[in-house]
Amino acid sequence: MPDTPAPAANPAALGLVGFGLTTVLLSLTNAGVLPAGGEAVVMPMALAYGGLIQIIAGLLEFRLGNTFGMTAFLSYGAFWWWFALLGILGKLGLIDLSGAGPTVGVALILWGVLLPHLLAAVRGLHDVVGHPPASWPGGRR
Amino acid sequence: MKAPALHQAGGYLGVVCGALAMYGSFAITANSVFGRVVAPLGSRS
Repeated sequence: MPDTPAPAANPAALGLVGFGLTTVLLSLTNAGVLPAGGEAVVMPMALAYGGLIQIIAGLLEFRLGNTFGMTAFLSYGAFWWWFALLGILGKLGLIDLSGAGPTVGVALILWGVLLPHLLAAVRGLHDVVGHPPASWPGGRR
Repeated sequence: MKAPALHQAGGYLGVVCGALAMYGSFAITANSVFGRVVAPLGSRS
């Protein structure tokens, strides 16, 4: 009897909720809905959930041969680790950001460059995580 | 637009973005558990 591989679960369910939940919490502090001090709660969640879970999801996407999922989840997982380490190490005084000038902004712009890089490849995916609405530049329906 | 306003606008945009990702996860999970489409994700292009 030939070995049939067990059906694989879809790692995107895991990665998307890791990204989404952490993003919503941070964004609620940025929007002023939650107090700015709430960022202290976001930092550990960025490591424990947003970062760790997306890195696991990215590795599982690799196993499925999904180049897009691997690149997106591993990148945004590592993004959360960078973001949390920047906040935590900066607060503890273990790294000195006083002379950084616009470097943090430039780093965020570089992360922004990753977005069109991924969007360019996203046409083959479902609508929700796939192509933008027709009203957006490059959108189609 | 002043920087605090941009910061706040970015926050609301992030809430929408994160909520969309959470819906995507919910839909994949629910559709998988029920074995049929209970939360639509749209067609593949």
